[in-house]
Amino acid sequence: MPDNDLLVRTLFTDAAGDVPLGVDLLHGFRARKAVRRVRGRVALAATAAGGLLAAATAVTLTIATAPSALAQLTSAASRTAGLSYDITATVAVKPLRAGSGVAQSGRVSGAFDPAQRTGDETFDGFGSGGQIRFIGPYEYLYHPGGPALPGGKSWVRAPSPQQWEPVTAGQGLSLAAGLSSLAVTSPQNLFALLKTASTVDRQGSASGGGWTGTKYTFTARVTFGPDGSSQPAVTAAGTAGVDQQGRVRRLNVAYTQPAQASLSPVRVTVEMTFSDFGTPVSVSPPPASEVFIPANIRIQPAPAP
Amino acid sequence: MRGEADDLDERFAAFVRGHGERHLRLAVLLTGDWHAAEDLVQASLVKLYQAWPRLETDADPDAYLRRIVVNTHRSWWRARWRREKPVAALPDGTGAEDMADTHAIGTLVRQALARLPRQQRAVLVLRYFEDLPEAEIASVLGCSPGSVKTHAHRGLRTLRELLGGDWPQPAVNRMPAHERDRG
Repeated sequence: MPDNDLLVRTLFTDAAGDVPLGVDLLHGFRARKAVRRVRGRVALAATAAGGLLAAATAVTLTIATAPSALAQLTSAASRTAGLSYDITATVAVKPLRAGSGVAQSGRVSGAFDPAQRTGDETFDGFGSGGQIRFIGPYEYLYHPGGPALPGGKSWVRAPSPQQWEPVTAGQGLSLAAGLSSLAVTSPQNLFALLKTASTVDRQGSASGGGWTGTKYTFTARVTFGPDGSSQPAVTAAGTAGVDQQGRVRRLNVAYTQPAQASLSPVRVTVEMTFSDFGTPVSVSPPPASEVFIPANIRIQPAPAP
Repeated sequence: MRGEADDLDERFAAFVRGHGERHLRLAVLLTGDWHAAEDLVQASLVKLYQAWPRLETDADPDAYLRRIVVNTHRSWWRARWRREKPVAALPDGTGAEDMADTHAIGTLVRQALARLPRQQRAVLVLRYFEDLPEAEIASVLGCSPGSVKTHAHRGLRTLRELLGGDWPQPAVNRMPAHERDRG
């Protein structure tokens, strides 16, 4: 996009940014059920004493109080989580204790289709790269650089029951890493995280390739493990860019994952962008003969709201 | 017992709660000030409500309301309801170089937009704020895509002149390289 185009878009976004408070679109609309609209006429009613009663009302709509930044961001997360989209991301995992491991980073690209309950991610870095296929309640991980699998199989199937389930506010979010220590999360998990955001602030305009919109900062509570009880919850912080159509276009999140069994605490940062909304995504599972299903992994029910 | 009218009202109300502000922002760019924008959106929502029961299930209420807002603004302009008088330049002392924050620049841009001829203003707002392609802008405004191109070109040139001959730099949009999308 030419620089001038981007600049003009940003100027227009700023020019329409300072919505005044106290504008209520629905105030008069609610009163509609209790009043009758009379256009240009006065209704007269004569009482036994000969009095006159004038009843003339008009529907008035005043503008709704501008939604809070929290409402706007969680609305954008809900909306985007219901669309199909392409993603690109960088993920970095950094050990927080000296000598406790090696920092890893990688790039992810893929697509998700919540309506079909499918998604796929291809990642490089993290040793050797690989692929994750999300199909319904499962995720299939192909990671040549990971531990050798029994029977010479090349894929691992793990449950991901919360992948497509709605997350209610206050429920928190499980960012279970599955069978790998890559801590690579799906964007649906991140949208669920966003929907539980607590502190949200607008930070002016945002823009990217082919879009302009609003930038937000947020914090959200993150839990770990299938039922959120295996480790203390932590606070994730990040920024989000939401376009004029109310879709999340950019999502940057950072959080510290506490020590877990033999794993040292790590700092995880994810920077993700979204594009190409609305294209169906078809994903097939790998051949069953190539899939290892660990016996001690069971689908955990989603936490009750 | 809940009736069909109640359901209709709830759906309409939900739409207004979720999307009303967006159209208010469109309206302020068309009208130049928030009071006029409020009036414009109010009038447009009344029309939308009246048409709501007839909207097809797969219709896009946002696009429909946008068309109502733009056309209502056009009919107001024709009736000189707002007594708009486009002038060649902004008042003295409002040069872009004197503005230092987003709010001030935003006000400047709104004032400059309000001084464009109506059609040029509508084309620029639909293109640069609503991100509509030329064909859709032409459909909303009832003109040819060629006219849209012409209005956009002239509108940008005039807007830039009104802003002092150069585009003001947004106060908070100093996007560092890593914030930009890749590809």
